[in-house]
Amino acid sequence: MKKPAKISEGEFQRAMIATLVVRTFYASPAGAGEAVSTAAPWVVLLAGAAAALCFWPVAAALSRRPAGQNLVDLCLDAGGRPLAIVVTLAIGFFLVGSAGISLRQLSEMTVTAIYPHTPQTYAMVGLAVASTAGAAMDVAGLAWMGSVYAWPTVIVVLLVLAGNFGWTNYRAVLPLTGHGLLPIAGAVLPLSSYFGELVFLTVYARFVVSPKQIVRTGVSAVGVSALVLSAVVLVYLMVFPLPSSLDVPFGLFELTRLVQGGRYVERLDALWIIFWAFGTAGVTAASLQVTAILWQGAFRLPDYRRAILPLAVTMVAVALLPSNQAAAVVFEVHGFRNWGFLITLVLPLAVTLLARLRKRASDA
Amino acid sequence: MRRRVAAVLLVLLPLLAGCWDRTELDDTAFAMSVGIDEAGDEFLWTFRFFQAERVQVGMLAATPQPQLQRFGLVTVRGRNLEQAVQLAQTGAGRIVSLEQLRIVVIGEAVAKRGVGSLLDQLVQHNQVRRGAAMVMARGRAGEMFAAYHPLEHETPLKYVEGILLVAKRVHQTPYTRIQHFYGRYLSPGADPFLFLVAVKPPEERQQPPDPDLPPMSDQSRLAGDLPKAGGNPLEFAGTAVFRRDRLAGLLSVDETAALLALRGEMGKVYASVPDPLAPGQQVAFRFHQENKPKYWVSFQRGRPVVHVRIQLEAEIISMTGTTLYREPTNRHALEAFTVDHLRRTIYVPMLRKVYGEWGADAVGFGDMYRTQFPTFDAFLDYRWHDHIRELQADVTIDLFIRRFGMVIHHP
Amino acid sequence: MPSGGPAGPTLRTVARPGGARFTVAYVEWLVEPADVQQLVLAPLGRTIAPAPPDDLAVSGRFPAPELRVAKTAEALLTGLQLGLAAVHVDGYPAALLAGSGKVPKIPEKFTPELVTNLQIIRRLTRRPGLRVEILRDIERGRSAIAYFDELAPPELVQSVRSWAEELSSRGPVMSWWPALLGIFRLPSASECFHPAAVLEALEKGYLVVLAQHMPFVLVAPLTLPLLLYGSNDRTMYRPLRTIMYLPRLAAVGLGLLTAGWFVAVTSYHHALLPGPFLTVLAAARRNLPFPLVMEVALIQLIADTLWIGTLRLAARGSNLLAFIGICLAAMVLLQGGLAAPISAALGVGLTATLMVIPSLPLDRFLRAWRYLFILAASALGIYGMAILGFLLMVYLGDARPFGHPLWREPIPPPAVSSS
Repeated sequence: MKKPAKISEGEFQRAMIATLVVRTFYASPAGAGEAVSTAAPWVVLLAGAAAALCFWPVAAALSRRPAGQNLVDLCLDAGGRPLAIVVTLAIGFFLVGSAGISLRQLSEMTVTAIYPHTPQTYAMVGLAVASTAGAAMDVAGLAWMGSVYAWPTVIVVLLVLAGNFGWTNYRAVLPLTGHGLLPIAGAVLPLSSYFGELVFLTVYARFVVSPKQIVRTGVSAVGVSALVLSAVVLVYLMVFPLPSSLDVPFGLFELTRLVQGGRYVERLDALWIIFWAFGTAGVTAASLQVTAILWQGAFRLPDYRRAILPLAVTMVAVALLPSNQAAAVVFEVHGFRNWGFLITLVLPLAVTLLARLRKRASDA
Repeated sequence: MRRRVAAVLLVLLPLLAGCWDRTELDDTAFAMSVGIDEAGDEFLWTFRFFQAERVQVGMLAATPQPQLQRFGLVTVRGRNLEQAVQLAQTGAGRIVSLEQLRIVVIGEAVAKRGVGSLLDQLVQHNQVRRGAAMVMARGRAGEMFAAYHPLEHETPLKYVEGILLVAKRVHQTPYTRIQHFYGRYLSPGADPFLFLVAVKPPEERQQPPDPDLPPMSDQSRLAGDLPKAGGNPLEFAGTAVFRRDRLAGLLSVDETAALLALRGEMGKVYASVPDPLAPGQQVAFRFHQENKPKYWVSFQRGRPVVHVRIQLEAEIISMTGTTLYREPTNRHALEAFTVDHLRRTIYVPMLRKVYGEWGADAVGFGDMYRTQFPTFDAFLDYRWHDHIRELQADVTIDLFIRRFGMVIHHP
Repeated sequence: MPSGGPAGPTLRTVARPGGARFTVAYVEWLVEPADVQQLVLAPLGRTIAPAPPDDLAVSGRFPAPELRVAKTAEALLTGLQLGLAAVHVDGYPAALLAGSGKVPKIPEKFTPELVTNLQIIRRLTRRPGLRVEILRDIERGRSAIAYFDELAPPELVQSVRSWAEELSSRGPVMSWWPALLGIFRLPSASECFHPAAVLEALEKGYLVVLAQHMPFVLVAPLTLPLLLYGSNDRTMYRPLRTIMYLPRLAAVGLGLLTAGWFVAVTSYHHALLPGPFLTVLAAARRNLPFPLVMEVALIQLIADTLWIGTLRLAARGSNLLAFIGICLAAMVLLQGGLAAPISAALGVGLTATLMVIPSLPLDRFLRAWRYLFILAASALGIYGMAILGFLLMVYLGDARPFGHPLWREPIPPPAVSSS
């Protein structure tokens, strides 16, 4: 097996923050739009806190281990190879499936609003090929890509915040109690699936120089992306007050269609396609790579790269599953967003606790 | 190496299908504005297309051909937007596109009947931008299009941009976009309003420089009634207030300023008030609203009560009298009089008209009542629109005169 | 003496016939044999009494333009590496250094002679630790590498050394990629024409590769800051240098994307065009024969052809000549009704933009990829450009000349060793 290069803490941190921000902000347009339309900004911050709480024990367990171990080793400790296979299969199919659905949504949205006559499968296949090529690189390259995304992400956020649309409407964001306490509590947990890329973190942990970086990086990544998403929710609810925001399938995209730059550039929505395409490609590449690395550990494969191509084919197959645009949105919102936290946060947490219990039992 | 070549080839694969979606600029007919009028249970759609052939660019000489009307102004009759576009498409010889649509003009009859279905079409169409301006015409929208005569090399696009610039700068009208109308139309606690435009009827049009115009007097006026001759017969002034999606009534220029001030969107407005210390004379102000208003909303004996406190700053631009208003006593007198004048003649009658008579929540007080209910659903159950007529609104104006023009001592 | 690689520099020692007490030493590749004969051996052939080197230096018996005395081994080593010949007299703890003084100061550019170039590099700095290895291959030509011992990572030195050995065996051809794909690829090392810039690179841990008949040196490994640092940056005020980096970065983006962006926006995304621009553009595009993508590609092709053509002149001001030619060609296309003014302006403007790029490899790379972006834009608009951009990122992130990442971070630290 070719051993991937080690990466420095700065690179690792930037890459993780960028991946999380990209994911929460624009890698999955429909999901983000729907989520922000029902949740006030502070709900998003709460979700970030929930994600960090679930993530903390896993990261702490990994950080006490020697370098070079990842989630698979925790699974092996918790229940042996069968458990490792089941867990990595679940996580892998979830990551690859959600990447496929993001791909599909992006191409549907592109065709809806930008290219009415283009067969969207072509665009999708192009993007899938690009991200497979990205996944075939090793971790240092991916970290580099992630750090590159940090800049367009910051620009995107600034553009959204500086857009000339309805600033005075801030009262529409205010109703803190507008949804009741129970619905808000119910909304927080599913929202934390936006921070599902924390799984990436536990897998990439084996390439990091010092294990302590995992916790530091994870917490700062969750914090930054929760802040970014909260800012976006704030702006979004100002522009689309609650009832009308529910009618918009691709909320953030609709937001960008309202940004007008006057004499320099009229509208920015087609420009947004770049950010979305880059974000989707980056997250897709990371999903493919993480899945391949997990399966390499669980199935004792000689080289993780050999799994990437079959996974890419699976991903395109998942992308083609929904029969139409609405079905793709339903897949995303009701499937991946509502239940994603079970796979990306609760499952690693459960494995960690199990491993700890078994260790305590064997010690006793 | 082989893998990379394969990846490049795979990426190039989609190109085999050719350039399917490409439309060159010179193959596209851009509709810049659309007017919508009633025609039985259908609509009359008037499109103005952009004509590149009429524009002179750099050294390339354009040959102005006034008879070239292949796709300048087109009116079609159809049930919905896309049907109208397809009708306009016939004979254009280019692909019709709504991507550069800047302004949508609604006829008065359509506005009275309700614009909800129209709005849904506009918002759903993938080419129409929600940022396009939305305007209501007194009378028929088509008349606005017929009355506008472009200059030799000016594009109507430039004219539309100019109109929107004036609306943002001077606030004789609100600046309303499709998105604003749509959001307020769907909101359970607000009602929409629109930019108002009118064209003087041909029989009332007079020629400068010696027209016989009606007196301006103290009353505030509406678009279409302005004492003006010559220039463009189009008049953009005032506001059309809606209740849900139906036209409720029209507001004059001064009432528009009051409505915008209550919403905190007034910016700068020019207005004249009588001179309290020199009877028969006038003081012309420029009012600024730099701070957002403060609102206190509550229920008193089951009736919604709103207190609004507006902060305005003013500067004297011109005056016909010779009173020294830089003297503190005179300034205080002018401030007190102006506040009283504004409340008495504009704010209170306007609020009584819009809320008491029309039952329309143009300011959007309902949105502030959301926090008075435990949940959003409880607010929906309250049915705000059934209670708008009961609303009691008190307005307090804090006025401060800061500048007194370029002459501070009258001879 | 620096040891060098398998075929390192040779220390020639010449004992005076008759077993006298003089020893003459010089590094073969750094000194012309005729100079040694004329400056050292001939005076020694006349009768010179053994004397302290200090006396010999002032006696006027050696006609060398450059004469000095080395009293330590370090000074002796430096002198030898500078291309001086050393004369040691038995019994004295010093040596006399004599040289032709042919390279009296640092010249502005390199020469085709490997020896002269090596002397230039040796004279750039007095900092200890500069190692020069001469890789000799008698039959196929010769080459050398230079680096600072403590700055360049050893594994990097090893891989560059073996590459340079191969380089000397086949001339300055970089690799055997197929010609079509090769132009879309960055080389592993960057050409550098200016000695001052070479010193800058050496001090940041880069290696320098020299070869006979090559009027420039190659700086390895290739990294993004290397491509963006100009030759005169060293003389600049430090904050200003950082600021100068930004327009170059912007020029990379503009040069790469603008043409494609223009094609994409005018063929697919009309909604992006602001009103006044749309007006001018649509009016200028009437009655033109070619589709826009053809028009843009044609003008870019003319510009690039002229650019490459004038580069062969290798004269000062050839850039300007190309630029004037491009302006004239654009005027002809414009007057002939073959192109819109805006695309002609784009061709001229992009040429001007790329003049900011200080390095040739990057210039070539941007010019080649620009056509790919135009193609992608005409096929799928901005979306196509995004896919191509991602592939470009994959390539850039994956590229590891000599095992060192080409570009690790968006704004990378300039030194190789600090990463």
